[in-house]
Amino acid sequence: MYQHIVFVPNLHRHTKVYIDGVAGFIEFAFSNSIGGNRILCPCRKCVNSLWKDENEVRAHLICDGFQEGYKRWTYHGETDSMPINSHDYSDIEAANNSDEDDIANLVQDMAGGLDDKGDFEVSDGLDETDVDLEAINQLAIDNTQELYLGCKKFSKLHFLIRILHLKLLGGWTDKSFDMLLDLLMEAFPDGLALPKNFNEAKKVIKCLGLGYIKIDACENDCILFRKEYAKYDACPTCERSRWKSKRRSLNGKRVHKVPCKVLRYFPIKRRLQRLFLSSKTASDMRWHDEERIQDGLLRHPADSPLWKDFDQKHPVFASDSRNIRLALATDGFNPFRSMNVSYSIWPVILIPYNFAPWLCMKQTNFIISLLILGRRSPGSDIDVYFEPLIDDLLDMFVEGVRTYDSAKHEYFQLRAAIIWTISDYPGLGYIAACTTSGEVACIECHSYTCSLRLKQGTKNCYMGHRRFLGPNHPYRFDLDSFDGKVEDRPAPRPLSGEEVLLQTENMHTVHGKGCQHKKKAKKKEGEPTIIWKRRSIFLGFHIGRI
Amino acid sequence: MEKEVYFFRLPYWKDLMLRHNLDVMHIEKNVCDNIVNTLLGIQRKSKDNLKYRLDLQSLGIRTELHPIPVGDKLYLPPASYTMSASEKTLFCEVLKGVKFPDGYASDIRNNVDVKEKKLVGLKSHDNHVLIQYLLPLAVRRILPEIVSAALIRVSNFFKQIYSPVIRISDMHKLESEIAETLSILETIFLPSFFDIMVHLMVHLPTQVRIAGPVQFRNMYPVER
Repeated sequence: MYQHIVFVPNLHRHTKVYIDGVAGFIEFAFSNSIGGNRILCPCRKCVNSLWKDENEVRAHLICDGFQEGYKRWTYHGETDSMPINSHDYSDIEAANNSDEDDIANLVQDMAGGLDDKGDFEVSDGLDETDVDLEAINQLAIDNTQELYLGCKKFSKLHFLIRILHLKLLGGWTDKSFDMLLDLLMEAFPDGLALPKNFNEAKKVIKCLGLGYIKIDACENDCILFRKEYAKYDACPTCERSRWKSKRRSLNGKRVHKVPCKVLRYFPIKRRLQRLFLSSKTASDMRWHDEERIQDGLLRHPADSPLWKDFDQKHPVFASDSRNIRLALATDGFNPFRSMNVSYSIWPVILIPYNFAPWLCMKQTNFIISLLILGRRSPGSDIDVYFEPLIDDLLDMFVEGVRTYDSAKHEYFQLRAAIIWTISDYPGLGYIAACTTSGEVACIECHSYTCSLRLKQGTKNCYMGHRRFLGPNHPYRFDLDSFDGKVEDRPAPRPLSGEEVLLQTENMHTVHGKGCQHKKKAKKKEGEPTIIWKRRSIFLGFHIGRI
Repeated sequence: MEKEVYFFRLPYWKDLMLRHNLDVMHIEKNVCDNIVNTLLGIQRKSKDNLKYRLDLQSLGIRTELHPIPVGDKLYLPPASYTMSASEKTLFCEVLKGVKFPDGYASDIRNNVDVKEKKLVGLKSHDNHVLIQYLLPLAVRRILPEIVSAALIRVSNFFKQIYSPVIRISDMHKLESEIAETLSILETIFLPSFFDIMVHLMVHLPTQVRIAGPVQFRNMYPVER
């Protein structure tokens, strides 16, 4: 299809645009015709099976209209491979394949985000921007340096990235990579600008990555050694030492300490900022606002009432469609064989929902934010580990971070919010700090969970589904088929956030699995059981003093 | 010594209509496990055994299912969903015969043990396919109509929950339907069948109505 010919639906055949379009088509078709002064007529009745001359074709097209769906004129000289429109998938893939020489752009993009001083977060008094800027300058130098004297095709950086990529794809061992580098050194002419081994190769491209922060944690999950506890040697709650072992160096001056438990925190701000570094992903971040089909059906979280409700309550956040809504997903697993319980990992993953559905749930778009490692799973104390993440998220919601958008070429305040959590049911219990077993196992029915203890089976069962029926449903009055009672209770209503806040108002949170005895408050007769164990970290703590 | 601690909060968290997602993948898997294990009467996994029947007795309901003493042993009268040995074989043979399009699902035939009359080593996606497409076919001729109809309702429920495009009014309808379906199941299965995962089914349509399709909120991509 050629751009200058406008497609008009068959219904509007009387319009001048359509008649002009037909003329355009005929001109195109006859210029490419293989049948002399006749072409296959593409009207609805002939459907490209009868040969007609010019006048007949024009009459047919105006009287009957084009055959439906015949948009690529393959019978009239148009080739198959001409792209229908610019959103075609093949295009995107082709672009991905052809970008191998984009290294200069990559360095430029990296530098683009750093142009403005104080743009990136500054951590622990160390001026990261300077370090980063220096590293990127070094990269730029590497990119201009030729691989060997007189090499036109490859720069040092380009070659290194290609060969590291091959190592990754081929699963080469570090050793074999070193050997290859040695061979290249021998084979190439003098002045080959390649690192000596894999370790040095990694150092060259190190600043392209983002890295993570290690935060020591109490072995009993009481606290993280950060902020005011950063210098402590023992946990203030359970008094357990922070260190697993201490070793003096040979001259006895430096002490090498090994922490018991370490949390890996992958700073989220820079990761979110990086989404805007590439112009393609930066424009993808606006998909939910600009390209989504909006017809009242739910296809994407952006269609959902929750999303709209959130937008309404937070107009500042909603005003810029680049602001990111995230889901927080977590799940524990045992890395050393599934039945081995001697070690557990809880990765915490953030899923940005701004992307289109086909990008959104892809693993490449997940952002890992925390890695909680330990001999046993943190259980309900998982809150403690969320602390650095929530700190950053709070910042990102209230103030946002100044970010460079490479699609629009401008700076803006990027904000982010978590809109829900994804976890399995026991995990949900840990995150939401509620019970997920026993008498009040259902988080939605909360205190009104209908449970029954089976004494012989030593289990609880959760029936009473007749409560969810309409008030006059015949099943409600059916005594024989059910448990012999008339069901007159209404369906329980899930708690709102406000109500949860109210219920957990006076709960005192003590984290950790240490020696402190957690007293179980005795339930008074007739009082509804509260399912909350403590106030969830997401709901925030009350502001006060200990 | 009193020390000031800086607390923090996510200011928007209390306003969210839905804070924690129920994971449909696990719910589907557990429900499917419960159903299949109970139908095939697999030892220790079935939700129907002597202890649960005794509980039924102490609750004083469903007298027709109470264990009957015969000599010094207790006899469990078959329930409406109990399958005879030949029926179990037939059930397994149906599953043994299925073929899928390439890349649609794992070959479920490898998981069927016709001789032992059981399914072994099912993954959660196998359960997903099993409950949505295979179970209705397998139980149609074998079980009495009331049981198979209820199971087909469960299967349809999950099919609708998993649909990628959702109309809100459909979900309102589904909310009342699932309550009815679970009520019917209550009349068929023993109380022990209704563990928390089965109960959570009743809350799924509400969550879908509030937060959109489950593809964006389940654990499949995360667990991988």
